[in-house]
Amino acid sequence: MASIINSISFKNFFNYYGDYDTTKYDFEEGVNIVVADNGAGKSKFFNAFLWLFYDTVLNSDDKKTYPVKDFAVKIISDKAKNETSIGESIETGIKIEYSTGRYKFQIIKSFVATRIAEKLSDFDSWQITLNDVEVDKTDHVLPKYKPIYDVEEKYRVINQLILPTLRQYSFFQGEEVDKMIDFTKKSSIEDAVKTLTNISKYEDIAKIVQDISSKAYNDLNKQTKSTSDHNDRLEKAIELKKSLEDQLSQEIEKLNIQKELYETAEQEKNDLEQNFANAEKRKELDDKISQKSKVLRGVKEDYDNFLEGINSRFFDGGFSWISLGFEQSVIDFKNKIKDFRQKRYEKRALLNATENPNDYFTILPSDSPDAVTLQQMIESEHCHVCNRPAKKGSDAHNYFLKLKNRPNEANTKKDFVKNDLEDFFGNLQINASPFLNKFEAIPQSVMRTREKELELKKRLDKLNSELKALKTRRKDILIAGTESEVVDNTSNIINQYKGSIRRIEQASSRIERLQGNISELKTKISNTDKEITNLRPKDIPEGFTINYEMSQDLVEATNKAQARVFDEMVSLLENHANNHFKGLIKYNDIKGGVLNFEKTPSGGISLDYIDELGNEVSGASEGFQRMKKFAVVMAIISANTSQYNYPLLADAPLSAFGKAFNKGFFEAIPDVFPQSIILVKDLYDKDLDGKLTDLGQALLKSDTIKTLYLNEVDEELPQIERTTKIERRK
Amino acid sequence: MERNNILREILSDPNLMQKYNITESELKELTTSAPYNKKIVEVLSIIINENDNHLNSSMIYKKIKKAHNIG
Amino acid sequence: MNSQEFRNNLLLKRPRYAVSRIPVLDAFSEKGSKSADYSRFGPYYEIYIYALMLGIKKKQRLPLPPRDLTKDFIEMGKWKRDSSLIDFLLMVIFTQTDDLQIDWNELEDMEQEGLNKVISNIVNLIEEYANGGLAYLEELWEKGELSNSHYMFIDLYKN
Repeated sequence: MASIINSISFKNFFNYYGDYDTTKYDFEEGVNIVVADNGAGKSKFFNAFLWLFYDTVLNSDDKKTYPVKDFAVKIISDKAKNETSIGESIETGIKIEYSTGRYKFQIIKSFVATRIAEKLSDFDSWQITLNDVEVDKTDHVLPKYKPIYDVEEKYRVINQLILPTLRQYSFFQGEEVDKMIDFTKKSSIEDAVKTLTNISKYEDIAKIVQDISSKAYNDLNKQTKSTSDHNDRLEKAIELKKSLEDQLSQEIEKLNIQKELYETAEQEKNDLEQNFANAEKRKELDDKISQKSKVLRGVKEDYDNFLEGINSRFFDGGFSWISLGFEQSVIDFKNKIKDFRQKRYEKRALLNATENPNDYFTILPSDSPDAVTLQQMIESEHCHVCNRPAKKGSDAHNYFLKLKNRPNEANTKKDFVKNDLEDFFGNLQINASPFLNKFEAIPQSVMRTREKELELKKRLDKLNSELKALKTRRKDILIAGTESEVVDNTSNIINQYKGSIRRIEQASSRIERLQGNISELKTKISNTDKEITNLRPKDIPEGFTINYEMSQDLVEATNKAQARVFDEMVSLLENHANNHFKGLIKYNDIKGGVLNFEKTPSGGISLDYIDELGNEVSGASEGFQRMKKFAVVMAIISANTSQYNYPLLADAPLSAFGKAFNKGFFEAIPDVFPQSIILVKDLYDKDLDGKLTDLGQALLKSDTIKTLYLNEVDEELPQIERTTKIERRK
Repeated sequence: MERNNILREILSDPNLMQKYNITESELKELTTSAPYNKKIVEVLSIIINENDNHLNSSMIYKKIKKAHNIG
Repeated sequence: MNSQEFRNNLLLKRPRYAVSRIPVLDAFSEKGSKSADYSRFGPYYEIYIYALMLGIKKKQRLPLPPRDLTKDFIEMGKWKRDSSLIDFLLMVIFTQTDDLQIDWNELEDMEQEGLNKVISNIVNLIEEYANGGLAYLEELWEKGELSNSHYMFIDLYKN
């Protein structure tokens, strides 16, 4: 029966502050997800299992593992440490409950720390005592746990959770997948096949039959010598065979060296490709960053200009903010200019009347009525102003004529004032008109200005945060990069790459030549052997001859059988990997092709993705590469003849994958793992209401997902006050 | 049984089957337990069984010689 | 003097400001301050106009110190060229008849000398209100009562 983890709880373990019952996750058979942003407890959770299995923890700062006892002070929750006075003690631990078909186990690993000095984080301020691992057992009938005392039994219980040989496929952190499955390394594929088959038995047997064969040969030769007198031809043949065999072993030695060279070169090539991919990705990000920076600078400039320009809206006739509150002045001005005109009109009229009394009534504004209308009125003998007839010769008609002939004012205009300022005031009013009609619109204009500013500000903030995200991603790539970061100059990488390819080709052709030599030598040996058999005296007891012949046949048959078992398993893995791969890429936009397991000259396997047309898809993206490898991990597990009995515990297996892949992943894992506990940040989005991405929301509703937890750590709080809030969403 | 499977797998080599006169149907029924009706089956069975008993090759060889009546 | 001459005479005037106001002018115009603690205007005349209008709004009229403690400014005609802003300002100024104590119609009958006196009074009025506005700003500034919002000037102007 499969091991199923029922729960895990923590006591003052890193940011998991509090006793076991306050920081507990209950899990079920099937898929369980713990969603947490960076720094919200994923790696700490993973660390609990490192403690359980290996008594170590991984320090996320330097990515190195440390024994729990040396690292204890850092493991204790800072809040808990802070609350412990000098002389007092505090306990830190992890508790895991799991069940198999019949039994249920509870394992507690813990230590006690006593504070002996002031400095909180100093290793010297604490005295650490590791507690014995506590393992309790119950069958499902009995309600109570009973302790197990036998140390070996305790470790058997721990190991049974995930067998040590299978942990590499069942308990890992995201980037480890890349390293643990590297089938181009012969040892990696051999490891996998060894895990899956009894091939090691064949290896043992092959060694034994080889030994037996050489013993049988020696015995036979001894018999030959003891029974026959001198036989030159036979002795020569035996010697020849000996020398051929020496040559053979030399050639085999050489072959092994070449295979090693090949593998090293291939490894280097792969690493460089990874580096290339990183370099390419960095370049891509750099381009995006510079593009984004440019846009940002533009928007920033717009924004600054906008801010600078706000006050100019006072003086711009389009906005006219300066007029705000001066409505009354404008009304005053209008009244004043009206009075002013009235007064000067009266003054002028009076002046005219005095100087030219007869014309007094003719003083109509010079163009009123206009000349055309006046002419019509004269001709039609009708006044269009008062709509009355004005017959030729009548007073009214005469008045038309008088109006028509009235003196041109411009010519006769006389200065009736010393300073004619009518135009001065009139023009002020006309010119200022843009500033005279905005009063009511100004508050709205100010509001719109603020809105526009907010809009620009928002755009600016968005760009800023996008840029920051890009920069973080770039930094992440740098961290993920290898030590060869130092030689991070493209031509150097290219040269190294070319070099490794040259060495691969060299080793490859040498391997071929050596293999030719070897098979030639083998034929020679076999022929010589036949000759030896013919030359042997006939009086040797039959048993010796048969013993040798049979052992030789068995050597060959065993080697062949071993190769067959290996090849069959590889092809089984290939089938399984392809099935899983299809599931994993279900939502990706990759046209259906196949994962091809190609044997390398050194005995490894290279994983190539071949598209419909038979071309290799190089897929430099890290996500794609990891996807292939994960398909292989799943294949290794599903190729097991029996059902797989252990949970999958994976920290951030999704990083570097696209969203489509994530979806495929969660759907595909239950095919292989009876239980999985997946720690992810990719489903977290702090800006959304439910803090889950749309995929996260969808998974909440999916039947495949049995539990889903959300971890949150309040980053606003100082480190010594932080706790982890665990929220069960499903 | 794993041991029987290993035995059959190794002996399934066509050259070997021909040389030692093992038929397909016979192959399917082969086991690593006595009695053995063919010497080669006996020898390989000794190797397979005694490997599981953690005997080293010298000790196994002695047993084989006995089987060949030369020990 | 006709309308054009009157306008020209007026717009050729260079209003003065107290030397003691230079820090305020500097603090709130781009010309003066490199780093912006507060929202700023562009050229000097903008803050000057703003102060003038603020002074009128707040009825803050403040005589200038003696002439040797003042500096003159660019001609009014050069304030915000290609804009009718000055017309609007003059409209507002000419409604301040209580201050100016002039009757527009009387202006038309004045001798040159009288008109020049009026123009000088107008400039004086501008200077004193601007000075009052600047003093008002300076006081808020010194008391730290100015908000450093981009909308500080319009907010101040609204009330």
